[in-house]
Amino acid sequence: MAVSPLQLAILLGRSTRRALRRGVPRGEIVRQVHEIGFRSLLLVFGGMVFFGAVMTAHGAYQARKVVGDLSIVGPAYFEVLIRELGPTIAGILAAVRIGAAISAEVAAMQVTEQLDALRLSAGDPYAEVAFPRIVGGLIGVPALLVIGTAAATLTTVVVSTYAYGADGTAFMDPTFVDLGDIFAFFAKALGYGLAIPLAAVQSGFSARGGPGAVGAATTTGVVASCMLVLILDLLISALLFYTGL
Amino acid sequence: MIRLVGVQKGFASRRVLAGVDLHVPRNGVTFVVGRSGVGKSVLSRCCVGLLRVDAGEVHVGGERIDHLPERALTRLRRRVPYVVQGSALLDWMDLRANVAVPLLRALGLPEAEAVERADRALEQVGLAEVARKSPPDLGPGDRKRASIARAFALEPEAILFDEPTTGLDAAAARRVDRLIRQTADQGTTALVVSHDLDSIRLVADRVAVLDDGVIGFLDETKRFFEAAEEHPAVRRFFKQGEVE
Amino acid sequence: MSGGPFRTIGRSAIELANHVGGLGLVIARTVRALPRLDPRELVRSVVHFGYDAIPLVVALAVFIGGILVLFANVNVQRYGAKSLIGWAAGYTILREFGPLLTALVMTGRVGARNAAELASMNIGGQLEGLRGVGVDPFALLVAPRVIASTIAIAALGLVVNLVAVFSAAFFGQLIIAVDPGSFFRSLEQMLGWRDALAGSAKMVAFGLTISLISTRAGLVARGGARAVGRVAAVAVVASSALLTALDYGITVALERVL
Repeated sequence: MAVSPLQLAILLGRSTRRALRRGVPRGEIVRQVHEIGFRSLLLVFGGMVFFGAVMTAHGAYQARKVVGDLSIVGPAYFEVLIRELGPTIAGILAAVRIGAAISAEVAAMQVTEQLDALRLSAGDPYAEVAFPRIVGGLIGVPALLVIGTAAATLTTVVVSTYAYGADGTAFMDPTFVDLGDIFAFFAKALGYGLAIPLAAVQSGFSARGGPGAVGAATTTGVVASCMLVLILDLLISALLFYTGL
Repeated sequence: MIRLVGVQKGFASRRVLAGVDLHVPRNGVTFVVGRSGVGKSVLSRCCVGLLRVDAGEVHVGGERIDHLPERALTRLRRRVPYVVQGSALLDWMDLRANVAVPLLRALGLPEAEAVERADRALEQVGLAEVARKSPPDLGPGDRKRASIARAFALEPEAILFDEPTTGLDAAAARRVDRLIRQTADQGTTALVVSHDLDSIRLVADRVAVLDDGVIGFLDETKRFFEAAEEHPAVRRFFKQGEVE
Repeated sequence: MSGGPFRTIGRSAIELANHVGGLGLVIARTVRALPRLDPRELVRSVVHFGYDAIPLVVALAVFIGGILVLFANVNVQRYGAKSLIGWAAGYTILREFGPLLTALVMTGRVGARNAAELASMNIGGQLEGLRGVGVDPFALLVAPRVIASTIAIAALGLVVNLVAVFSAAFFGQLIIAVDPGSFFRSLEQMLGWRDALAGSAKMVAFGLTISLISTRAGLVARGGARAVGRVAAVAVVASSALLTALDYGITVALERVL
């Protein structure tokens, strides 16, 4: 994999420093929030609706084997959905869509020498290409995760009520949801929001060669974004577990 | 060898070929020239069924081919191969394996014979020493000659070349020209689509000018250069050269 | 003039039919090419898509195992059902998260790669170059890729399931002190061949989906470097969208039969 944590840290530092020195490109940030957030909405929303339905089916199957009544597991399911499942699956879906789009676009800019042209006209790819995408991710990804998790929750409520005849409202019963769960959700959301565009921009910047290089960079961008989501997920969950949150 | 009668071809709303009549006789080198974007490559693709014509007839070696199914066209292109623009070799195979691909997959030759014939074709184009190298390790001129060798190896009746010297430096382009001449001298008919004046001067026996969807001029190479001033289609072609 | 809801619906319907027809064509031509499949190209493609991805999926599986223990733990602590953790983690790994997460990552690793490579060969003239010398590029290059990427994804899914179960046992002991003996006992008692088979069936379906969509996307690509990137991104997004829908359909169907 052509993307290492050190490179990402350097990319983050350099982009932020240069953007602050040169002036933050507000218009481009708005465009990137739209590009990253809005244009990923359909995939994340649709994916999470199906995922909510899948989890209800599994829950019903497991409940039949152990507890007997599906609605008993409802409140606990809701907590797991907020703390773990929602951010993880919505995060992976967002990583797939955003990682592919950004790395393909930036890699095409790189191999068609648009980034060089930008440098020659006194522009800076770090400030003008990388930074707006990073900020776009930081804003867009948490929004996607909130919407995705809400979509999965509502689907669970509806499917458990109508398809399995249980009391569906149990799946949005917040008895077990505490501040720690909310904190876990947003810690993950911000972590992914930062990591996904960083990995994708980095793999786009590293593209060298012809059209084939753009494809290779896209592959790397998607895979690195997904893996970072899973790594951060495990790290943040484990950290919160040990600190007792 | 190749005869087109009233060939028409369009894409979406744009008509590219508007009734092309062209006769490419057996033996020798025939060039089809024209301003860029005029549809030369479309015309050459239609000759071997890589594109289907909208109307008109295409005859190759005395047989009408425009209505044949893809399978029969694939067999036809083993006798009359088409060398695409660029090198179009497979990057993960060495040159020998690349040249052997059609021998194994199209002619169904046994491995040993295919390799032997591939080596012979590579020697013919002057690439015997680099037969075990892969395309990315070679220059564009070498890659181009290797892709010509891939067509040679089929021992065909005729070969179609699409812009064979485009993207090559002058030295590499002249080596390709000499190969085309050599092909024709050994009795294989060559049809070349090009706008390279040096190539035309060096190797063409006959020149056809594709102008505004039809063949506007067809004669010997000497007459083509003589007509540069007076014949309207030829004049338009040369004018374009000045703009470039 | 291009507006109007009916026109938009009509156009999307035509587009959809076009996509479905395109996938059908890829399937039909692959099946027809089976007897002439080039074994060398098949082996090369399996290595290209599958073997080289083994380190990636092992890492993926380790993380999946750890993540699942952490969230099975939420319930385990609440209900004190420590003895069930092997089953809870194993069940979700085999039947749901192993296949789904592997497939989503594979849309990038295999799908984007396949689409981009076919698009480059299409745009670069390699496919037409083969047609030009009387070789059917579908039988030589495309069909082996369809078969190989399906095989590779399904096989990598098995690797993920196997490694993730061991990873879950490891993290189970590390994080919530469930000893591996009791982890595997509950796994063994409550899971059976049905669960393994259900997971494998999902992986094969996911693999086929990714490989067909990426192949079709690569073959219709036109343009330059930008188009290659766009095609790779489109293949990733289209197949992940279809995967989540397919996941639901297969889960419901499988729970009836398996």
